Order: sequence, then structure tokens, then C-alpha cells
Amino acid sequence: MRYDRSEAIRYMGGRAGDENAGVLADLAYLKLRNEVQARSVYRVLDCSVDADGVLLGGEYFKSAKLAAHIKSCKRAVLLAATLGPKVDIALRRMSVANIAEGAAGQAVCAALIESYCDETEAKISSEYGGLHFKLRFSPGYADWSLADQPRILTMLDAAKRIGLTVTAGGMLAPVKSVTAVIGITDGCEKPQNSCETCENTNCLYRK
Amino acid sequence: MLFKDLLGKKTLFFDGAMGTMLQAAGLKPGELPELWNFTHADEVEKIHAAYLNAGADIIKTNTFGANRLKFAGTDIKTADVVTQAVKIAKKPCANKPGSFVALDLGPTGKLLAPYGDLPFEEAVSIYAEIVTAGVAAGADLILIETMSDTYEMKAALLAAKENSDLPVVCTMTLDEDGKLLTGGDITAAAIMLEGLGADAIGFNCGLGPAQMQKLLPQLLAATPLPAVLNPNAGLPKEVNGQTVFDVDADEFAALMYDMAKDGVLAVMGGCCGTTPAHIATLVNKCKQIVPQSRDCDLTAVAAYGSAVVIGNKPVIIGERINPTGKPRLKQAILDGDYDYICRLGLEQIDSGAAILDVNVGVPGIEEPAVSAEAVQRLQAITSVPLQIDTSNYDAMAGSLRLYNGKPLLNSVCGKEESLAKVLPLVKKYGAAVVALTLDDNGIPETAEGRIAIAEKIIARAAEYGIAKRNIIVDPLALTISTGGDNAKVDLQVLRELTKRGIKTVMGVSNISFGLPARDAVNSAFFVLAMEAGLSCAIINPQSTAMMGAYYAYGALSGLDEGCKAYVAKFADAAQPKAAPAQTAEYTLYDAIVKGLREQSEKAVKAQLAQKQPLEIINVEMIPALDYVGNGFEKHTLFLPQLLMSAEAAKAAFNVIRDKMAAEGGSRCNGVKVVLATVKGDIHDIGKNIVKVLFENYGYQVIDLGKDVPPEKIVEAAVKHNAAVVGLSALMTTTVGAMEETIKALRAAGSFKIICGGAVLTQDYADSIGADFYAPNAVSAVNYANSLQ
Repeated sequence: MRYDRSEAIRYMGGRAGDENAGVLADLAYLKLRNEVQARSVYRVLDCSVDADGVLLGGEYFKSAKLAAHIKSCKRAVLLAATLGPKVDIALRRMSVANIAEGAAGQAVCAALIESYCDETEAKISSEYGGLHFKLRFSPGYADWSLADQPRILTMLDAAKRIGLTVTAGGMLAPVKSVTAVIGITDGCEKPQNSCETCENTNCLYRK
Repeated sequence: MLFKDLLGKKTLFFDGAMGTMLQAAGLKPGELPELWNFTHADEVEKIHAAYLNAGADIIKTNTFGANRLKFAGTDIKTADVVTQAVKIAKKPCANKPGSFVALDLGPTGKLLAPYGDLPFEEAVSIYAEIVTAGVAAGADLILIETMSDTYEMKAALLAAKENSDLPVVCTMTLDEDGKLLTGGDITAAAIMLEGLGADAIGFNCGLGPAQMQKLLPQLLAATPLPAVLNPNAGLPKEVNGQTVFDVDADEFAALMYDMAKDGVLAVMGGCCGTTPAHIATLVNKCKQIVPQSRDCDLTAVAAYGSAVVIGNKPVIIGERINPTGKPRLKQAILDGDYDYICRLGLEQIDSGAAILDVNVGVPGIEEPAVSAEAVQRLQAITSVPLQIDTSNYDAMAGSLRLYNGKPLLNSVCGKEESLAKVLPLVKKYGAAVVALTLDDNGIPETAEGRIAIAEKIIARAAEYGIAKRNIIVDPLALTISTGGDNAKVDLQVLRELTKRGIKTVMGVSNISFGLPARDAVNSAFFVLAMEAGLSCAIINPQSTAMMGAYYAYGALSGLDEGCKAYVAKFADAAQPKAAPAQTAEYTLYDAIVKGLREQSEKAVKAQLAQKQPLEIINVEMIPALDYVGNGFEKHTLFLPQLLMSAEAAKAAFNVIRDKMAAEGGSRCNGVKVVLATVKGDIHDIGKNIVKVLFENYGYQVIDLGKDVPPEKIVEAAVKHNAAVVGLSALMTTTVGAMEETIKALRAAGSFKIICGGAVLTQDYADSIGADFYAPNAVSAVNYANSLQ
């Protein structure tokens, strides 16, 4: 799995080229890489949209922003991916021992789960003989409620297949995990900026 | 005949997949299979009958996911589902004598706290509900299956044992490397399950027969219990978005026969992708095989990672989490500073401890609660096994119960009261136990006397069904300063017990009590003890002399093949570190500003020789922290540097606190801050950063952790008379819990409430009634400082 150092520095709140932050991230990565047990599960489903939401594999998800994002798609991938519970345990350990290392570890794992999702997308694409995808769109993003997490995990049988569960508050556990809808396109669309549909314009991480 | 009478005597056969068959009959993805017990009872019964006709002896009820979490928000009652499922399974079994109904318990679908948010006792209660209904409905045995988390397995097995007398079969799901999801190995899981009273142990799901064949030897070596295998029909493959299994009935049976032919499997069957055809072929091919019993002399303990085997080469048990003679730890226990306890644990692991002793016995505390909390906090950050060390029976029971894995208990002794109170706990929770060679008459002076007590404890343990291999005897080191023969007696006991195949443990450093230069005596005695057969040593792994002796003994005795461990310890330690060599000495102020942890420790030690702690804090440390905090707020420096500086300051404060605790003082400013991530939220890095900053400024922080319900926050704020309460929430779904918490706090007293978290804004914080919105950690501390 690719370790994107500059993304890790960005997630840590460092400036581009911050060498102190980079060294911190590298040390954290060395401690974490053997704790990663990345697993994913996905289904390719038919989808259709209306103004308020998306019908995906027979389940309706309310989110106008998601609907707008994948309105041109007839099919979409429903994906769940996780770095596994050992990473969470290691991150807690690192935070107790050294808060700077703990924060760096969080940032490294945020970068790793994104890399893993990218790689999983590429694998899915090649399994299907070459697919084109919209950007991933996840519950908790824009107007899509986290309350939909349990239904997504049930649709993917994610607890049994990859050990991914959801807490009472709609959080994924293990923490370093992602669920997402990925619209399948005919390949003619322009590349997008992953932050453009988001209304949180004060976000520290906005590109 | 009962299942228990046949188990291990005759090869028994489980049925195959239920889910696969239900899907073939029309079950849709996402639909709850357990509801078919009501809507399609005839289809479910047909599947059971097909497996019985194929030759299966044991039918799994259609209850894999039947638990109250799955049915939450519906009218469905778990007990009704279970009762109905058992009823359906019993019907076809009635026509086949010698067939059995297994009450099927699958995973809850949740991660247990502290790894997720399902409390351990809640998990036990969820399983207890299923077990109670299944027993009442007439199940013949309980099958706990498809488990990939030792903690959840423990909850299910405890519930089964506490609510029924039925035999229990446990099968776990592994990856191809033979690991559970949390990293546990087969040995760790097997010794835990055996200890808790499982009747048969094995694997199911996840893998096909070929992959399980590679892992089976580990199971057979870990436990003498009958082995069970219910593989999938091969590894799952994705074809056009569908999951398929491609090992057919003949290949499946042939692979199973190859594994089972020497009688190592007591029970066989199938999981995902297997059909009545698979089971029929399997039964035909394997029914003549007679299972063989096995011996097992393994002594091992484990948490949820790799098992630690006792008896091959000496094992280091870290002794530092014990407040005797340690004022700083004593204070941390009184203050509920579990992070300090955790750091003591991590330091010892880094130094080579394979097991951590955990003793939190301080007068005036609720030891059962504190011990259980310490065990959970340590288990949240490390999978190294723990030795639960207490003389308080309630603390023993509570900590053993909550412990994730097979624990080591310290200790039982030959006194009647101890035997009667401790051994039942050892049995129930499947612990290995340290046996002290003393009794109501004290410590015998002779080796023979101590060996006699050891044998008495072993015999009494056997009456409870505790195997000799789970008793680890401590010959008790008494100081040579009061008795010249004391070391000799210990070595004699160690040699004799080793000859009898009994494992041993000893607190080595007691041998030098009252003498100067104790390390010299301790390390020499340690080598003699290892040579006499000592299996485990309770020592300080941060003592250079002791660890030197340990690694040198390994190299000299041939236990450390090719001196690999010795070289790794000492040659690698001498390598230059990644950080650039420091050419200049830094002042404490500069070391903190630049975020240099080691320099900062060094500088503060030098200053403490000349100055008072308070002067150092006020003249150098606080100004350095202020400088960094201001820079962060003005965006001239950024979060990574802020954190490195905070960490450097923390390291210096730790040096100061050690000194002040030893002198009976405290650097705390007397102002208490309660911090928590609110209920429903399990993200705590932000809260942890705030905590470090508060502590650096001298506040006493009561850290309640993550996913904390409002009432617990209120209780702590009132109890500690907190000046400030800091609440953190990361997600939109949990800011509601923050509002609820604020309301409860307002009703309970007058606290200044700070809110923070990624999705929070000033407007939102105002609308829920917070006193202050902290966009970052520095602003939170600045606000608290402004109140003083």
C-alpha cells in the first residue's frame, strides 16, 4: 500500500515541505506498517437518482449532494474498506507514549486508508475489464447522514466479511475505515476536485 | 446417547452451510435469514432434513445472527426467534436417533469496548439471552462459531457456561496466516477457550480445507480438546459481483479425509458454499475414522495477540506496575492517571518484558474497580499478556472476568482460605496461577517443605479440574542478608520442581533485600536460578544488569540460537539513532521550543541539581510553552511543532514530578479539569492533545476517555469538584450528545464548559450553551488560564 508522505503531512496540519513533520510521519509509518490488516468488500449495484437521494441496490439513501454527484451513473460500487483493529490499538499506544507521534500516526493512517481505497478501486476496475469512476462519496460528507452507515454495512455483510462494524453513534469501528459510493461513468467526464461539493469552506484540509 | 458421550469416541459430522442454502431458496442480500424461521419455516426445515439425510449428526439452528442488536427497532424478540429455530431443527432430528441440535451463536456484529463500543458485560448479556432461550427450547449443545475476536468468544463462552450445562463447541475464523482479526494466534485463542471450559475447539468459515490443513497442527499442539473443522468449500471468489466457492463435494471430502485419516479430527462439517452433497460425500469417506485422544503439556498465557509459552526459555515478567515503594505510581493510582500506568507498561515491553505484572493495591482505593480499569486500559493499547497481581478476591474476580485472553493470576498459596477462594476463580476464568510455597504455618525453611506445599496446591487444584500445567510455582526468594541458605534453598526447589515437570516463577530481586549494590547480587542469582530451571522471572526489565544477565544466559545456554537475541539487544542498541547528533547543549527553554524530548529531559535534570522545581517551571518551561502556543495561534508555527514541543515539555515535567512525588509534593496547580469525548464518539486524538497541554500547564486532568455518557461526566465533575469540563465530539451525529451533556452539567453544578471538535463552530457552541468554543488545543488552555 502506498505511503503518501505529503498527504500525511497535510493531515497532520503541517505545511508542505515541513521536514520535522515529515520525519515524525516517517517514524510513525515504520511503527504502523506491520499493524495494517487492510481488507475490503464491495458490490456493484444498479443505481438511480431523484432530487433528494439515490436508490442503490434496492435501498434508498437520502442525500441530494450524492444524487447530484452520481446523476449520470447507472451503476455504482458500494465499497467498505478498513485498515483493521490492530491499527487502532497501535494508535492508542502511540498517543499514550508520545502525543506528537500519536497525531502523526493518525495522519499516516488517514493517508493510508485513502491509498488503499484508491488501490481497491483500481483492482475493481481491472476485474471488470476497465471501469471509469466518479470520486468516492461517503456518509458524513456534505448532506449524507452517518445514520446510513449500518445499512451500508448490512448490505455488504461487512462485519462478517471484513470485521467492520458501526457504533451506536454511526462511527465505523475499527476507526481507520471508509465506506463509500463510487459512481461508474462512461469515462467522458472531467477530473474533479474532491472538495468542491463540500460546504465546509473553513475546513483545515480544503484543497 | 448424549453428544458428550460420543464426542471424541466416534467421528461426528456437522451439517453444511445454512446461508448458501437459504440464498438458493430465495433469501435476498441484506434480508435477515433468521426471520425465515417464521416466514419460511418449511424451507428451513427442508434444509435441516437434507443435511440429516446426507449423514450429518449435528444440525446448526438458523440463529447465526439472532441477537437483540440485529432486531433493535423491530417488534421481533430474540427469544422467540431462538425458540422457533430450535423447534424447527428438532423436528427432523426426532426422526433420526443419535442426531443433535446445536444452538448456533454467531458474532454480535459489533466490536467490543475498548476496541469498539459494545461493553463486555453487554455482550455477555446478549449471548445469555440466546442461550437461555435455546436451552429452554431443548438444544443438545451450543456452537459458538465464526468468531474472529477472542474477546467476543470469551463473552459468548462465559454466557454459555453461566446459563447452561450443555456441551459447548467453539470454532473460530482465521486468515490464511492463522491470525484472528485482532492479531491473536491459534494458540492464544485455544488456551483461552480451553480454560473457559469449551468441550471442543476448531475452525470454521474464512478458509477452505486446504488452507485449514496448514493451520491445524498449531491447534493440535495447543490443546488436548477434540478438534473440529467446518471449512468453506474453498476460498471465496468474486465472479460478476457474486461470491462463489469452487471446491466440489469430491475434492472437499478428499481434502478432509487427508487431514482426518489419523484420527486428529473429532468433528467435521462444512461452512459457506458447502451443500448436502458435500456433507454426504464427506460422511461416506470419513465415517470409519476413529478419533484419537491427544496429550498436551503446554503451559502458556495470552492476551489477544500471540501466546507466551512458559517452559521453553525463561520469560520476563515486568514488575514495575506495583506501587510498593514507588510514590509516583501510588499518586498516579490515587489520581486515576491510567496513562502513567500504561506508559510504565510500554516502557517495560520495549525493554523486553513478555508479560506485565499489574498490581494497583494502594490503601484507600476501590481496588476491584481500579484493577479492572487498569487491566482494560492496558489491554486497549497492548496485546502483551498481563499477570493480575492482587490479594483482594473481588479485584481478582472482576479483573479475571474482564481480561481479554488467558490470564496469569498472582497468586494462590497453601493457606486454606486462599485455596478455597482463589482456585474456583482460576477454574472459572481459565487462568494460569502463581502458587506461593507458603501456608498457614508460614514459609518452610527447607526445600522439602516448600515442595510439599507446591504439591498440595497442585493436588487441590486438580480437585477443581485445574491441570498441573496451569500451576506455576514460586519458591519465594528470601533475602540472603538474614539467612545464608536462602538462595541455596530456592535453587534446590527450582531444580526439583523442574525435574517433576512443574513450571516455576520467582521475584528475583527479593534475594538482595537489605544489601548494598543489589544489582550485583540479583543478576548473579538470576543466572543461577535460570540454570536451575526457572521458567519465569518477575524483574525490572529496565535494569541493565538484569537484562544483561538474561540475554547472556540465553547466549551461553544455547537457548538463544546463534546468539541472535543477544546481538539484536546489544549490537543494535549501540547503533546511532536516526536523529542527528546533538552538537550543542540546549537550554531547557530551547529544547522545549524546538521539540527535543531527550535534550529537554537532560536539561531539566541538570537544572534540578541547582534550582527549585517551581522556579524551573515558571522561568523556563511555561515561557517556552507560551512562546510555542502564541506562535501556533498566529500561524507562525504549526501543529506538528506544537505537539513536539508539548511532548518535550511533558518529558521534562515527568522528571520534575518524579522528584516532587519522591519528596511528597506535587506540581499540580490544584485546578481540576475533566476531559471526555462524548457518548457515541470514539475519536479521541483531539481530546488527547488537549490533555497533554493542560497537564503541561499544571492542571490535574481527569481523563474519562471516549464514548462517555453524560451521567459519567457529571459524576466525575461533581466528585472532583472540577473547575473546567472539556468536551470533544468529532461528528455531526454526536454533537447532540454534547448538548445533552452540557444540560446535565448545568443542572448539577457550576462548571466552565469548553467544547471542541472538527464539526463544531462558534455559533453551534453558543447554541448548545457552552462557555467557550475552542477551535484548537491552545485556545482551550488559554481560556482556562484566563479564569485563574
